[in-house]
Amino acid sequence: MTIAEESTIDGKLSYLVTALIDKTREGKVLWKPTINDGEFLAGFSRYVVSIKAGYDNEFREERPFRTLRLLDRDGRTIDAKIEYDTDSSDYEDLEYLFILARRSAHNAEQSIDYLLQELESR
Amino acid sequence: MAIAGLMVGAIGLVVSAAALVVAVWQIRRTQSAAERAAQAATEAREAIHYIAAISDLSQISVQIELIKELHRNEEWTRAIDRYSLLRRLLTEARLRLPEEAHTELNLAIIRLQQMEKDINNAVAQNVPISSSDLNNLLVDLQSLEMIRVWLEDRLSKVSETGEWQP
Repeated sequence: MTIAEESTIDGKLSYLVTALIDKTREGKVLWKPTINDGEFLAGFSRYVVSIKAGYDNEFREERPFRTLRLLDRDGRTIDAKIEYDTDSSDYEDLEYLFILARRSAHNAEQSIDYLLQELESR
Repeated sequence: MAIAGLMVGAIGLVVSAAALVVAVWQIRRTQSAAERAAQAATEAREAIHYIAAISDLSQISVQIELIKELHRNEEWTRAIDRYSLLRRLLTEARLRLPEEAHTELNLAIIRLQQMEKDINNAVAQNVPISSSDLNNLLVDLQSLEMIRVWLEDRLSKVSETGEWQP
């Protein structure tokens, strides 16, 4: 599937998640931490993307959710993809993107390399 | 006579063609001079914008340092006031800078918005705020200095060569 084949906005949002996963894995999209532990931002020339992991208490039980938000450059939400169904492939994609974003924002690979070096020297 | 007539005609044709070539060359020369002048004017305008952006970015660094100090002293209300000023400076700098510099500025504006909102909520609900967490994020924003360094480098090249190289 390519972006040209996607005709619906939901389809394009799903494609955006996949593209963000690919480019984050390649190190071409870098994520930044925010004041909230469960949210990371990636900047682009005209937009900012946010990936967030959280819990919803609305129905008296904690339901996990994952959200991808597309923000304009002044922080207004343009569109969002929210997933509650933990068994769905869309949720899995957002969860994977969240993990990649957290790794990117905290330089996880560098930290692991550092730890491995220290362990080897012991 | 017929041959002489043909020769005169041929010579006339060659002269006309030569005159046409000269006319086209002159038009192009005039156009390229006008284009060069227009380009020089655009470059001068860009350089002025970038000098103003360097000033904005310097002020941004100063404001970040001030806010860090206010965080350390837990002067939250004064810090919130500074956040608005800082975001305004970032927005103004963005207007003056080319699109490739916008990514970092967009991120900074949104991260500051979130921090400001978080402090506002914490103050309103009287819950503790971690000044070190906030300052760690502000340290990260100091990467905006790289844009200033990049602009200063470009401007120094203008003063050396007389040409703007964006």
